[in-house]
Amino acid sequence: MNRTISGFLWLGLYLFVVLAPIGLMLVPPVPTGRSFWVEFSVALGFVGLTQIGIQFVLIARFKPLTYPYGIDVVLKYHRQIAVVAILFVLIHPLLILIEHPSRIVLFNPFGGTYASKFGIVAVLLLIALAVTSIWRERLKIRYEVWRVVHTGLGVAALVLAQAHVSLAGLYINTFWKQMLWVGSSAALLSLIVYLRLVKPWLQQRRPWRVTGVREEGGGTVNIDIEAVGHPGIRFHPGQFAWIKVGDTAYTVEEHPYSFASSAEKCRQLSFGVKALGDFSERLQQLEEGTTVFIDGPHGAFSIDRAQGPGFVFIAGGVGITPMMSFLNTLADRGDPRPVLLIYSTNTEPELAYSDEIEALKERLDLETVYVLEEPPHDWAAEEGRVTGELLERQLPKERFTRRFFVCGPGPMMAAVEEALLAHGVPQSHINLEKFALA
Amino acid sequence: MRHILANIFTYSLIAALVIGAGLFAWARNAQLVFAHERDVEPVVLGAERPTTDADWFAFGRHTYFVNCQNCHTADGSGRGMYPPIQQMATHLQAEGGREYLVNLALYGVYTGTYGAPMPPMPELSDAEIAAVTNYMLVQFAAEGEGPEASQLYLAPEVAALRGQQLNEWGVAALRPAVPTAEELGRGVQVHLTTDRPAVPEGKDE
Repeated sequence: MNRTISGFLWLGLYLFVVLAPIGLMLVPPVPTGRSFWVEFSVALGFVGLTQIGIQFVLIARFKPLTYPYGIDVVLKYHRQIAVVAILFVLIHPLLILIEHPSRIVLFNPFGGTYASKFGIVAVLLLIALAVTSIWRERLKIRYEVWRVVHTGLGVAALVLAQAHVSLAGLYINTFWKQMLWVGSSAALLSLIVYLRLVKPWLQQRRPWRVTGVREEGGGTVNIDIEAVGHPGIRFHPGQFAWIKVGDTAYTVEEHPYSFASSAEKCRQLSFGVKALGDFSERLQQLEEGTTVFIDGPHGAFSIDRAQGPGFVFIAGGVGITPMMSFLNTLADRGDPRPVLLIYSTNTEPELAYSDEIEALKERLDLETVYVLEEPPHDWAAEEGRVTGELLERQLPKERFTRRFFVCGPGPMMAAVEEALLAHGVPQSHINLEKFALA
Repeated sequence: MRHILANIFTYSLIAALVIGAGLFAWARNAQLVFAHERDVEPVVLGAERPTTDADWFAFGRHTYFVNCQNCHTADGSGRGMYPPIQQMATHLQAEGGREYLVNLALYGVYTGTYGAPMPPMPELSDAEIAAVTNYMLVQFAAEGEGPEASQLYLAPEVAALRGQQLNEWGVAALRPAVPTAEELGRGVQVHLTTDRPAVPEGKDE
């Protein structure tokens, strides 16, 4: 189906689902309406709970669902809406308390009713969940530990919140409403089973094998893998996959890496891996023949999604990886469109894939501009950073029709985007890949 | 571009949710209803003593079902978590007991015996409070201990009790000296009458 149409269909379904509780609460039999603030509080509670439930869908990595937007956008939305949902959930008891101060007794976790106890514990778990997620690095929680804790807290909070709704819910006063709520919560929780049990099982049946580990510049290592006993995957150049290493796919240790290889080769894939943490360091020391599992393809940073008469790729450091996928794919497709690659690193040896890029010039209408912050004495190309001045100098005349793809460190991308906009490149022609996925 | 569109969507959605919740709260507060739930109300609203049993009883039963049953449970026992409201007809004989039964609905009551206070429910109409109190007195009475027909509440009596300066603790202080269900040793016992149909004739949810 057309990407835009399916994107709008999912959004429509999403809006329906998040507003459904409010509609459902108006279906009789309903209690006599109470004061505005009490009813507002109850509505916020229901809306907040629905949002928290939807979070389980957002992180389940359903490709048809995330494809129209890109999973990076979906995961960013996951983080943003979580904060909103928790605020709603916190306002809910506060408004009720302000309306009837005698209800302060319900805030005693050892007093109150079962409904209030479940509610209070659910809120405390949600606060713990928010704190461990927002300040994970400051709290020095390891990523893998955090993932387990995050899932556990989320599941517990949803179960307790559902118990709170079932017991306290004046609006859950018939069997069918009760079943609808309990059933929805159970279905959402089962997505965790899908993600942690079913998905690894599917991955297990489609293993990959490491066929080569090659040192590139700048601490980047290129890893080649090959499909074992299956036809591989189709992907768009620039997409990425989560990689697991080892004999079993039942592990929480997995990290996303961009494909560097051509999208025209389904069975042989390459990834560019930069040593940024424990996991990538271990990846770099992989031996040939090691089994790996991949969850992908994901992501919307692709030349296939932005057709234009030509391209400009701007890469910083390891951000070259998706660009390599673009270039390899364009070459394999015999694409005649002009490409300008602007590639910046600190020093010359850090320019990864430089031999491969030079070789690609034979097969592509490719121009390159290397930008070094600390160039050697005999450096003839650009020096410093990718600035507006540099772009002004290097960009082709028809810059207004070209499609721009930028991938690199956050500050670099922000600066480049600003410079491009200042030089008249339309916002819709600029595609950014933000690496911070988590 | 995708990120900008996503941010626009996120902020619009947050606004839509808050507006949706606000509209819902307004509609509920204004007592807008979709269905003909209140068709029976006019029968009870009149000042005449209720003669047709089923009308006020069904109305009281419905009011109980949507507003009270969630805590006090279908049999009025409260399952030990909430105050049992069985055999309350003794209150009618006690000094101030008649007013107390209405006041606790209008202003709430908190005695500390149970975990949750009875919330004030002034949003209930006079007719609803009269009907639900009558329903409670009759449905949860022990055999032969129900109220006399002349003791049943009418809407004007409830209306007269509105506007007092009372809160949850004030109502508790005015509680008549009747033996509590706990003292009677039947706090959580279930007393379902067998001679009376569980659902009043003619009206079904």
